[in-house]
Amino acid sequence: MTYSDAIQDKSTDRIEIVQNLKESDKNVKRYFVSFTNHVKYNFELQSSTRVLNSDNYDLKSLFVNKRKIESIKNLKYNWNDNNAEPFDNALLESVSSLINRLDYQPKLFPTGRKSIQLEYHKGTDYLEFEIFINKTNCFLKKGNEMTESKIQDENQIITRVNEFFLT
Amino acid sequence: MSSSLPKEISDEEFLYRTIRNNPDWWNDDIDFPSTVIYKDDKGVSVDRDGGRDESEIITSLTQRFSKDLRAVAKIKTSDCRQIGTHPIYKPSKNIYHSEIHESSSVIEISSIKAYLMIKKTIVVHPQPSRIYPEET
Repeated sequence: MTYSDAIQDKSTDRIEIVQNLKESDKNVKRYFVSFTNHVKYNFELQSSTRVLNSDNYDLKSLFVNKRKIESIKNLKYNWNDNNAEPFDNALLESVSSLINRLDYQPKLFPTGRKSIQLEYHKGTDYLEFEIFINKTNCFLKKGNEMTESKIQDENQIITRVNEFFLT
Repeated sequence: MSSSLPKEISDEEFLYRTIRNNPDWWNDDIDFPSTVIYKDDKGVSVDRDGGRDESEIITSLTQRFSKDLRAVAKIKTSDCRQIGTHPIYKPSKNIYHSEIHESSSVIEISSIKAYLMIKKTIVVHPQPSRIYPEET
């Protein structure tokens, strides 16, 4: 469901998804209801730098990612059978805040090294951000070129995602 | 079952990595595991084949991980070495247990090497087996 679809049809998918939530998903539910209220009243979601692109905004994928972050919060010590530690809440909150601002929702995965990875595929091209509590690494494969770089701030991630899809 | 495997993993051996249901490391966009399967600060835990048939290895892994097993992937040792990573034999209770490191002195595998590794990875369970997709 895109942001535009959600504006046109304010009820169906949202109600179905919310009804399917388990009791343990209260935080996500609270977020989702709050978020869809924005859609319902047709607010424009604004970041400090720009307005989210309503054509690309994928509410369902955002919701899936929010649930995934909630499930990552529940991972206990040794969740990978290789002595991995639980994830830092500050890291997960930071990732949760970041994905609210992304026009394109990534695939999101926990790693066995205390980081959260965001992935995008387009044809044979690939963009990845690995977010640690104190740094973010970016890996881009475009055509035959592969580059690794450091990300300075959240806005840079948003810019690189948009460039990846728009160029 | 061999109780004394060579310390050096042969170039011809495959290294098997299990992919669990929770957390989900499967990227549905490409119907293939994420590169995160090769990102672990304590070394990427794998089972070397040790001369066993693949069916025996898969049976052993499916029994060990039961319902939590999403898939089994493999990568050839020679491919790991060509990429520049460092497979090492580290037997435990599991005599086939091995690890893949970035190099002989660094454990964590870089994003570039993890990407090159996933492109050489073959998912062998569940069937049909599959390789990294060329197009998404």
